[in-house]
Amino acid sequence: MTIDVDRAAQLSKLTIPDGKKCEFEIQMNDIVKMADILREVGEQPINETDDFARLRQDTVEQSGMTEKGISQNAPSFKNGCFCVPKTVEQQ
Amino acid sequence: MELYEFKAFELSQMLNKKQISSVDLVSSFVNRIKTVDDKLNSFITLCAESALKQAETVDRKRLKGETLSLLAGIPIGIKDNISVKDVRMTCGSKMLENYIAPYDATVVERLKNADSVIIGKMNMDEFAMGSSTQTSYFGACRNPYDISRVAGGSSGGCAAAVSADMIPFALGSDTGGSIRQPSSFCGTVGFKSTYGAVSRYGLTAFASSFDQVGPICKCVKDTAMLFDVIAGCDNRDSTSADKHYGICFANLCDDVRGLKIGVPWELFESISQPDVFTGFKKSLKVFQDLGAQILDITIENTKFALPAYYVISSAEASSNLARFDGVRYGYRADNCTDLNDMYIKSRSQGFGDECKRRIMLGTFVLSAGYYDAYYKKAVSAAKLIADSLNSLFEKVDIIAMPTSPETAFSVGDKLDNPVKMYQSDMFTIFANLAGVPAISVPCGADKIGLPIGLQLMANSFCEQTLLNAAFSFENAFDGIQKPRL
Repeated sequence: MTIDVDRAAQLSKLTIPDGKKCEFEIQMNDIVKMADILREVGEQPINETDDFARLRQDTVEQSGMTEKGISQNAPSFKNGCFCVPKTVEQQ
Repeated sequence: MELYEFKAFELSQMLNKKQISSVDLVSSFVNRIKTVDDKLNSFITLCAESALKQAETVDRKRLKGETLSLLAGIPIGIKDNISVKDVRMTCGSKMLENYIAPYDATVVERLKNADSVIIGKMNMDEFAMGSSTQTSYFGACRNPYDISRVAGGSSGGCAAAVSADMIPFALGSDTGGSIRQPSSFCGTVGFKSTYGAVSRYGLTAFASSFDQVGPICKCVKDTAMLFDVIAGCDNRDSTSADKHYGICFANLCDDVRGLKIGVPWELFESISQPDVFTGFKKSLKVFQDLGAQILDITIENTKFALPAYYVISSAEASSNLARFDGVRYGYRADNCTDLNDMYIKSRSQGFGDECKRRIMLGTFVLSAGYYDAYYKKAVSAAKLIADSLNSLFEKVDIIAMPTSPETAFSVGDKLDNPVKMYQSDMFTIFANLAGVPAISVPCGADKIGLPIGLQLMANSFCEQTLLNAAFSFENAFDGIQKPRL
């Protein structure tokens, strides 16, 4: 199987510059070729109880984080909100 | 002998007897860092000022006669994907170049409670994706044994700094061998515990079902001492295991008589460097002379291990790294026309090539039409390998193999050939796929003096057995020469 780099980039919200596309195509198809051997694997029943992830009580707890601590890393933060470019196209 | 040359447990004794102060100690390490790190580039952020302040606080507590932990006043390096409150955490990426962590990781909280002194944040492959610490946005980290060679990765900064006496020990993270392989390359001890033994809260997620935080140290005693502090259940990590370890440091036992060590010989056909195989065989002889029993074993389905690891880890990475979108934190591109344009430009400019490759591969194997063929098969393969290891641990106590098929390679090598780079992990990924503990200890050097690592694995939650075996080996083995810088 081969990988369509443009499609994978689009789904990943990435762009690969034209000058690097060929290199990416070769490298990623080498990786996919390595993974092709997995076709020989018979499907195994996966028992979800094998996973020992625990659920905790759905209660509100103090996190110790402050608004300042969080907002200081935001590229744009005003009036307690994260600001982003417009999301609605103009008619 | 300079202070920075001592092992952490020796420094702990000296501090406890008030032969030295923590301020003396931190100053000694800061001077060492300023003298040698230009050659290695093992630090991304040095916290000299806050470390000295913390050292003063610990010294005051000691003078007051307070009972302090074994780690009190000893400096430690933290891999730069682990949160330390109010300190920059970059994950080796342009994406987080200016990110200040707003909270402490659980492991860091435990270190602080033990009065440990955080001296800096260590260089690493971008988002821990790599086996050489060459994909770091902050430049490659070099090997102290030969600065034209890599330190290994992704926790290369931790291993290089411990090896070069810039820190007595460090916390790294291991997803497919990122603690053990750089330890093998730099002649340090690297330990990945059972999945769930150490909290992942505050560790930047790469592949959540494999990631573990663990120690990189000068010796097994220091490793046990550090593991004792960071291990234990944490409600903030839902995969944290409710397991209570004893005090591994105090219970270290130098006796492997009757210990059964399994060796999967068929794996070693792929070792390209004869010195590595020779070093490994000599290690087995050491164990035999100590009274351990060496048994031939076969791990089933090993040919699926590397592809299964890269498919699963990339799939998880593609999901985990979706959070880096330029909205709440991290890099945001300029001149974006709309929200979608901002996502694409910020991610394309903020991530390096290896991150992009893995995100795209992960997206591909999870996409419609490929999920069954790749991701589902990879999960099945991982289960087959885990089952094989689990059944082997009914017959043997330890499985032994080299940590890496080679010693440190040259800077620049393999960068344009990801598959070749991924093969560096061929022996370390088994422990991650099965979730079992594994340790790398130095076991010799190749013909040009580069360290070789011996990897030992044990059954889940048998950390004490594993540390004991490594401790006995270390005591019986002559050791390797220190790097000359």
